[in-house]
Amino acid sequence: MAKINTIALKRKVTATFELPPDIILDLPTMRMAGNEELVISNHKGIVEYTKEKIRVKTKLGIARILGQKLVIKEINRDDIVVTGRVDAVILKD
Amino acid sequence: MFIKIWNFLCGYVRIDMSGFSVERLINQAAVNGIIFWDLERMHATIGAHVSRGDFFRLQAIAAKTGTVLKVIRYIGLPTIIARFKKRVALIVGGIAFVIGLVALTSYIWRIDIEGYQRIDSEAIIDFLAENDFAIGTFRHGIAYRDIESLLMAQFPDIAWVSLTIEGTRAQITLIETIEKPEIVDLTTPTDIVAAKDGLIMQMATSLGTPQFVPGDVVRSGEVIVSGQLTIGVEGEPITYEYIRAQSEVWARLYYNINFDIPLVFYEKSFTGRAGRVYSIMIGSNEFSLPHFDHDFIYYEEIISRNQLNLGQNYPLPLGYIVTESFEIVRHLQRRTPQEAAAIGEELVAARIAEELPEYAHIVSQEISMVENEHSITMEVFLVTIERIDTERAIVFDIN
Repeated sequence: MAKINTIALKRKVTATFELPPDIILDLPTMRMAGNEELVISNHKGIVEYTKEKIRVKTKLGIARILGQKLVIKEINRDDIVVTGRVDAVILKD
Repeated sequence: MFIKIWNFLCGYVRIDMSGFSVERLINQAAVNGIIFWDLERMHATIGAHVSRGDFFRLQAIAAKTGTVLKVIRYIGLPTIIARFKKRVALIVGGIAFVIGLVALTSYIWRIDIEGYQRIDSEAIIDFLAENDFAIGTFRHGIAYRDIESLLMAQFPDIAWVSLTIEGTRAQITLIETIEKPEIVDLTTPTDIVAAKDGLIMQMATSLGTPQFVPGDVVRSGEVIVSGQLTIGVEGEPITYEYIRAQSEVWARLYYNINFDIPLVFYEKSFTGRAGRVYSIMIGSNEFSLPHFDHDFIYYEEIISRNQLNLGQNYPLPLGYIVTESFEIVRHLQRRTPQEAAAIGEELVAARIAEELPEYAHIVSQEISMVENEHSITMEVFLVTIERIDTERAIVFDIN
C-alpha cells in the first residue's frame, strides 16, 4: 500500500510542478526518427532480440518493437538505438 | 563521427555470440559499462562490435553466463600497426618519404614578383639574393618585415611592398610610386642647338636671342637660339645676362636611304624528321636522359621546361625539359623583281617607323629602284619636317 501511495504522490508532484515525468517516475523515453531509428532511454535490458522483434524490459513492463531487419545500432547502460524498419512499438504486455 | 574515429584509433573487435541466452550476456555487459554497437541477429548467433578493451572484460562475463564468443576479425589502427610491424623496409621507406617531402617543401623554390613596371624585377631578385633571400632559402624563420624594409630602402620607386610565402613559393607584391614630374631647371644657362642639319621652317622662341631666322640652313651643332641676352641701349655700357634659352624649332630635313634586296634567297621547309630529348632538372643542374643524337644539318629547336609542383603553392626544385628538334631543308629560290620591290617597300616603311621621330611629318617620299644581276637596289629620298632643337649648357670661359 505504501508503495502505491509513493507513486501517486510522485505523480501529483510531477503534475503540479510540471516536472519531466521520465526522470521523477523513472519512465522509459522513446524517440523515433520516422520509422528508421528508435532510441529507447531508461531501459532495463533486452529480453529477446531477433530481426523482426526486439523485447525490452522497462519500468512499465516488457515493450515490444516489431519491424523488419532490426539492428541494434548501439547498446549501453542508458540507451538502446534500434535501426531498420520499425513497424510497431507495443507497450502493453 | 568522432566516436567512429576514436573507435578506429583504439581498435575494436567483431564478435559472434552464441549460447543459451545471449540477451542476458548483453544486459550484463551493459550494466558493467561495456558498449556494443552494430548488433545483428544471424539465426542462432548475434554479431556485434566491441572495443578491444571491453572485449577482455566481456570474456570474463561470457564465461559466467555460458555464452560462447567467437572473434570474427580485429579492426582498427592497432591491427594495422601490428600487420606492418614485420615490414621494416616499408616503414623505413614511408618515414624516409615523409622526411624527404618535408625537407623538400621547407625551402623556397620560386619567387614571383607582381606589380612592377618601371623597376626591373631581375634587380629585385639580385638584390634579395645579396641579402640571403633566394631560391633555395630555408622558408621558416624568414624576417618578412626586414626584407620588406630593405626593399623599400633600396628601391625608392617602391611605395608599398609585401612579402608572403605560400608553400614553397615566395610572392612579392609591390606598388610603385607615382613617377616624379620632370623638374625644369631654369637656373642653368643653356643654348638651343640644332640636332640635325636642315632648313629652318618655323621658330617659336620664348626665351633667348635667335641667331637664325626661318629660311636659313642650319648645320648640326650650331647654336640656333643663344642663352646670352644683351642688355643696354646703344651708347651706354652694355651688360650680358645668361638664361636658359627656350625655343621650338621646326626644320625641313632630307633623308637618303639605300639598300639592296637580293633576288636569291633560301627557303626553309620541314622534312618531318624530328628528334626528342628529355632532360631532368634538379635545382639548376640538368641531366639529359640516354638518347640518340640526331644528324640534322639544319634544324630548329623547341625547348619546354616544366617544373614539378605539389599543388599550386609547392613548386619543387625538380622538373624535366623536353628538347624537340625538327629537321629543315633549305631550297635556293629566286624572286622576281616585282616581289623584291614589294618587300623593299615594306622594309622602307619599317625603316621610317624605326629611324624617324614620332612627331616627324613626312612631306614627300620618292622611291627609285635599279635592277642588278642578283639584287635590286632601292633608293629612298625622304623630306620631313621635324623638331631639331636640343639644349646645351653654356660653357663660360673663366678667363
